[in-house]
Amino acid sequence: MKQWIQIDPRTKLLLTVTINIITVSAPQNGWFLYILPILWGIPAILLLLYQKYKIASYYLILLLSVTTFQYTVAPYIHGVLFFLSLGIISISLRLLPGIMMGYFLLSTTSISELVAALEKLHMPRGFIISLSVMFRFFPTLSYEYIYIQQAMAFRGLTGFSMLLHPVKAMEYRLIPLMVSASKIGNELTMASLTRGLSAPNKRTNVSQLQFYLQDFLLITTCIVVWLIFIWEVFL
Amino acid sequence: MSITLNIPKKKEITCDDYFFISKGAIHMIKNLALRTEDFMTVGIYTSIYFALLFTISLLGYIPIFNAILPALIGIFGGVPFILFLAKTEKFGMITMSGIICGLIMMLMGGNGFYPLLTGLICGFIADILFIKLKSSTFSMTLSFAVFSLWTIGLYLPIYLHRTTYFSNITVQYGAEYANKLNSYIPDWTLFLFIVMTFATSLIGGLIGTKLLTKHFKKSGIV
Repeated sequence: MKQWIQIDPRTKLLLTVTINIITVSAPQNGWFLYILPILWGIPAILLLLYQKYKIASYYLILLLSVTTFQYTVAPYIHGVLFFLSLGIISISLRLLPGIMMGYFLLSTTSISELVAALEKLHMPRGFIISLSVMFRFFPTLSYEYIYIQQAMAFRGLTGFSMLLHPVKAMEYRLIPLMVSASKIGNELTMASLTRGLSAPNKRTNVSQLQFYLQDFLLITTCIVVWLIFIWEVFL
Repeated sequence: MSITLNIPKKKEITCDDYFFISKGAIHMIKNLALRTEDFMTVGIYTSIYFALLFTISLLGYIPIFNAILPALIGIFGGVPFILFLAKTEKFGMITMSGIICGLIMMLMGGNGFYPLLTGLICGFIADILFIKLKSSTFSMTLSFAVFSLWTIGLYLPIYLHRTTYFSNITVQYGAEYANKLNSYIPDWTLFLFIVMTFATSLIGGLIGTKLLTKHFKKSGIV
């Protein structure tokens, strides 16, 4: 399906940083009574725009149930349970939007787009290489883990027997994973050096990045939120 | 126009070479600077460490496990990280690893910018320790223990933003409730977290070095 509304990876990065920092550290009074709900809503809207209906609906349901619980049920329960539930509510309201925004960033941005965005932001070369190798490596690790899991099933080290032999279960999973990962890593290094990753020239990228109207809207929102945050907290 | 220098290659560069700056500064910088291969090594081994850390931190959504999360990361993260240290020989690789771990936790974990800060600081100190003490079992264990203190950054917002964290409760129910809620997580628990993380990472580092000699040296990975 063609994505009809594109958001630039740089905007996504800015939004992720903004939401993560501000929802964690902003007080919930004054201006922020109105700003925080907007920040909570942004990941949901973006996920809906990118056709991630399932996860967006989970997020919205969780958000709505937590807030309605806070205003309707919570005043009527007492004692330790009250404190426990309030603590969980306030912590999850702080953490969830950031996690959702991070999920949105990673699930809707391809590695080449991310690399292009970071190169346009003039990040150090080594940093970009490390980060892209890392994201390239996560799927490989999961494939390798599935094979090791099958081998462990042969040995009878799955499920309940894992609890009986926790040390063996960990050792026999971790060590093969790391051996194969470092071998694959060596091959990857050689292959990409052969293809000229270490060449000092400026590299071209397939993904063309461009700011559109929606990017400008989101960026101005971020700037306004940051200005208010600095005004309220530091002045 | 570029000038090419024809400098003889020396195999091993140690930290003592810093004292001979007048003699071979260019030569040293050429060998100590991180190259593409080193950055790729960082990416590969950090991804194993981080995948493990992420799987463990999914357990953190169960309330009791949340408290022993740093301990679990210390014990299990030791194996991949010690292997990474065995492949490390230049200054800056552990710092890079710390920055990347912190950055991803910042972007995905909803913890503000504290993981990035602690990742940078702990990675840098671990780097200095590792390079200064030379590569040995002791230095590997110690620098891993220092490095894993970066996970404290995941808990810092709860301690530093206590009043804002629970400000919605203060608005609704008054300061008394919020204070009582705060008293469930007293400040000294942060110190407890630091000690626990450090101790368990020492254990994890020892396990890692044991496995390093048992498996990786035999199979020729290191």
